[in-house]
Amino acid sequence: MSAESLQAALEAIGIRAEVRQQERVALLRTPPDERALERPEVRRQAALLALEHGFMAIALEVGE
Amino acid sequence: MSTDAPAASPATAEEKERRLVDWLRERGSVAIGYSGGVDSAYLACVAVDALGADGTLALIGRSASYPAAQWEAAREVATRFGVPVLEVETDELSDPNYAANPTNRCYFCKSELWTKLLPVARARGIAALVDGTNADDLADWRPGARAASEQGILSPLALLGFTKADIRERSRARGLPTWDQPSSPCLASRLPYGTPVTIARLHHVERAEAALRALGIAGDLRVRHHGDLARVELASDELGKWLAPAAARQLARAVRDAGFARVAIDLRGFRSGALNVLGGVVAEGSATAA
Repeated sequence: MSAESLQAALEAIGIRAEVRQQERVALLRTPPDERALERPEVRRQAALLALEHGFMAIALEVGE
Repeated sequence: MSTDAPAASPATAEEKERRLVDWLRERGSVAIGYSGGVDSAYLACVAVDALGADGTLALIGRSASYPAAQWEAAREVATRFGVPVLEVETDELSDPNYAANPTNRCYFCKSELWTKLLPVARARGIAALVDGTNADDLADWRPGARAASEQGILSPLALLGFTKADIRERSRARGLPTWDQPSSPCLASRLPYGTPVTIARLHHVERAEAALRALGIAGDLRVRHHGDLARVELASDELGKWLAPAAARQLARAVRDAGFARVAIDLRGFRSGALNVLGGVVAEGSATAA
């Protein structure tokens, strides 16, 4: 389970995000103009990649 | 070689309901472990039809593990359908086995529940204490079922093969407002196994979920507790809308105001039993409870 490798895999499918790990959850922080995750097919791909990287959940952390 | 005998067709939900009425009449009187959820509300309403109000008692086991709003809704349904209700305080939080939040936490909760409800039913001469477990539940990770079995609690819906879909169908036919209600497991199910169950944590979750409902979020909803982080699971038809930046900030503000420092929106949305997967209790793809 590696946040860095998941971050690279997400970047390869066009998702710009910083990935951090909390327990077995991958937490994503995205730039303000990143809208890719609003699309269901992108979320499905991201979730699949998270599972492949050993995470049991993937979530978008929402800042202030 | 095949036989000429036609295969027996499976019973319809309506046929199952007729069998349920017969089953209840054979008992004469029942007390129901009642949460006001889809299953127990349906069972209580059929019981009143079959046995009358004199032969039916819905028993609510009240504790901090369930949101206050749920009890209000449960009482409203009972009042509307003429189901007599009695509330009994339960105190599973004072049991260290429960509070430690092991993977079989539900066993200790249900042991406490039935230990408190059984004497109430017996004192009133009620023939059977029943619960709303259905046939689909039998495939789930449900250690609470063992506690029910140990104390002789009967599960007529499971016994007669009612699926959740059957119960929703018949609830709708009877005009029960619970027919399309999302499942509502206890608040402790939002805490990962091993995270001690405390009143403060349960209240954080309860307040956060109430705040999200107040924003208009419908359908399945869970605020999963990960220390200072709330991981919000939404129904798939709500998820896209709340991932848009302005909406996400509004959601996060509501959850922070409820007591969490950080907020994240789960990208897969609501998954029943998600913490069973995270806790390694069941494999990915087989989660079903909570």
